[in-house]
Amino acid sequence: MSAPLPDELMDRVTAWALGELAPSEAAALEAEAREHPALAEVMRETREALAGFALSEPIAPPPALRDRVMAAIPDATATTPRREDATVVPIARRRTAWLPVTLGLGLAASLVLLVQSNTERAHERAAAADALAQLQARLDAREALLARLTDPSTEVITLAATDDAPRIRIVVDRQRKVAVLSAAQLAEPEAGKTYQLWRIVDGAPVPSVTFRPDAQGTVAALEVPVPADGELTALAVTLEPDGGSTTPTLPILFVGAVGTTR
Amino acid sequence: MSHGPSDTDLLRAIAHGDRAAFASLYDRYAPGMYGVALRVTRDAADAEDVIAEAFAQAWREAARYSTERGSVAAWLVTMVRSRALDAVRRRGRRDRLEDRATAETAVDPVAMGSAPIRPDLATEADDRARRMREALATLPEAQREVLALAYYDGLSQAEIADRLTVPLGTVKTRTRLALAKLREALGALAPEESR
Repeated sequence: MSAPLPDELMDRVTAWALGELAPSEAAALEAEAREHPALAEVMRETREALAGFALSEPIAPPPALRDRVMAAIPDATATTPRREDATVVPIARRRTAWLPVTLGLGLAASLVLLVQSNTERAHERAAAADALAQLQARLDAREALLARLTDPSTEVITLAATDDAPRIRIVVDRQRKVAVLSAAQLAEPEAGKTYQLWRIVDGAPVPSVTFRPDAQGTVAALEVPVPADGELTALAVTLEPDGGSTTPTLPILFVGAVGTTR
Repeated sequence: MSHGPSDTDLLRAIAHGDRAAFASLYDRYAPGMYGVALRVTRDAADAEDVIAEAFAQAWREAARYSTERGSVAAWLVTMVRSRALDAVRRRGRRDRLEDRATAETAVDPVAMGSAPIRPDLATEADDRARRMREALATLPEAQREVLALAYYDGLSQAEIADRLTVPLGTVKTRTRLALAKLREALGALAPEESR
């Protein structure tokens, strides 16, 4: 078992293993773990410990469930010969019987093509089901975002660049203690640097999430926790070393007051 | 002690369309996963749907599994818990779950029309489960309770504190201590056993 970590960090690890962290918080912790093998090890141990806890009280499922599960998966290999089985060697050895050889090889080739085609179709069906599930998940996420954007309890904060660079838009939902950050045409930070959001709470900067834009300079719908830990008056963005900082590095690149726009 | 192919071997075979390997994986983990699904959903029909969906997902995604995502057991159980919690939320039974008596966090499988695994039918997965049960038996009831509320009911630490009317710090401490004990028990398992 690895060495213990500070309690606050252990609480985050536990929340991560239980799936309680917002995606941005989980990503931040996983990024930290990539830099700190001891943290990664504790995260792995915690996930495995919870799995062990969950699996410690098995209950026999109804026998019919096994049939249902097995019936739901593609049956290409069970109902048709495998490709190698379809190559009928004995016929090929009968050198004098050309017609049966030709027919046999033709049949074998057809079987190979049939099996190949069935297998490909099964994979295509699985891929299509997968793609559909991913689309559904994206649709759900968009719907959740739309619901937040249209909720009366949300407010939209636009962080204007201090040097006329592109803007960052943040939708703050104080009721649910969450915000959604999006940005476009952001410059890619140099290697080893990352953008970091700061919440100005009771006049002091509190570190929030780190983020990097994609190749097009876009940050799409990044969830940001907004705990009610004081009076939130502004949001700001700076450029920090990878992993983020506990105090902001000047200059402030973007800043926006909270509660002044809607 | 030999228990046949490892979980990762089974998944590799499943990724190549091996139904027999898939059946073996089902036999190895369905009881544990069904236990999770039943405790989360408290509904046998829902639990069966969750298991069917989770195994279908495992079939589809076997090729994408990586040991970096944890053991196969953790991968599967995360899948089933997530689907079970979704099922509860989707079907609006959250309120009913929250109305449960806090003292009773364990499911009575017999009352739910199923039965626990008989010890004489124990498999390798159950061997691992037995080791974890031994560790769990050493935990104070209060620590087991917070783990069960977090894991099976999907409650946040703050919600657990509200439910049990104890300070949030107490819930966090209980959870930390419980998990430390379980991690210790898991560390005692040889790598091959923990697969």
